[in-house]
Amino acid sequence: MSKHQFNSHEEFIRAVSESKAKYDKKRLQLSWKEKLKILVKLQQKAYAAGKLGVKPWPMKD
Amino acid sequence: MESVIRTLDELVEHKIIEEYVIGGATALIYFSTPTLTEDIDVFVYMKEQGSLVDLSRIYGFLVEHKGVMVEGEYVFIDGFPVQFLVPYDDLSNEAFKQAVSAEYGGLPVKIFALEYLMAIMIQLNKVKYRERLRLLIETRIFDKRKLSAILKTHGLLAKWETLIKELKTP
Repeated sequence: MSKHQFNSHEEFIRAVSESKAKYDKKRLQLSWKEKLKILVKLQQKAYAAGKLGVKPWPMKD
Repeated sequence: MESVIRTLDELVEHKIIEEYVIGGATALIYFSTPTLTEDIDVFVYMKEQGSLVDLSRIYGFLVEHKGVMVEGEYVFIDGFPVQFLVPYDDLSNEAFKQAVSAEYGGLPVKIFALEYLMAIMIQLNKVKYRERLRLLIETRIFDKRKLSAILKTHGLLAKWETLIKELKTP
């Protein structure tokens, strides 16, 4: 895995922001169903950590 | 999730409710990126809806005909926790009336429009809503003019302007 060297903290922050923006843009383009499947993964993590009051949704493919 | 929509449609077919609209984070996810939520908020309109609304007809029908479980504020439809709500003020009533059409797995369903979901989050101003609003500002997917008009109507514009400054501050 290649490591990118940043010349400054600002450059690093900009790169992180751009990467996050691309990630968010990709997620926005998903269908409602696909987004809800991601939600269930979030629920599973939260449930395992004891941070969800109910069981994760039983989403089917 | 399809079974939830079919069950809600059955409530309409059997005239238990007149109409329903999905709100909350489940509706928000339709427009935005996935955000953690545990339930599905379903706003309902019932024929004899006055200031005091009795949701027991809904629970009764679902328990008797669909064998659902009721636990606390949730009705578990096929394992999905559903919270039935009624529009509780002018803003939520307007959001209900101005609901938009969406589709889930080929099934048509009405959901709150994004700008109304935002207005409700601005109105309630919970910590979890602030993060959701910040993401929406970043992704710029909402109609600014539509949101401003809604906020102006409901006296929330100043609140939003203060909030937007705080959300933009790192």
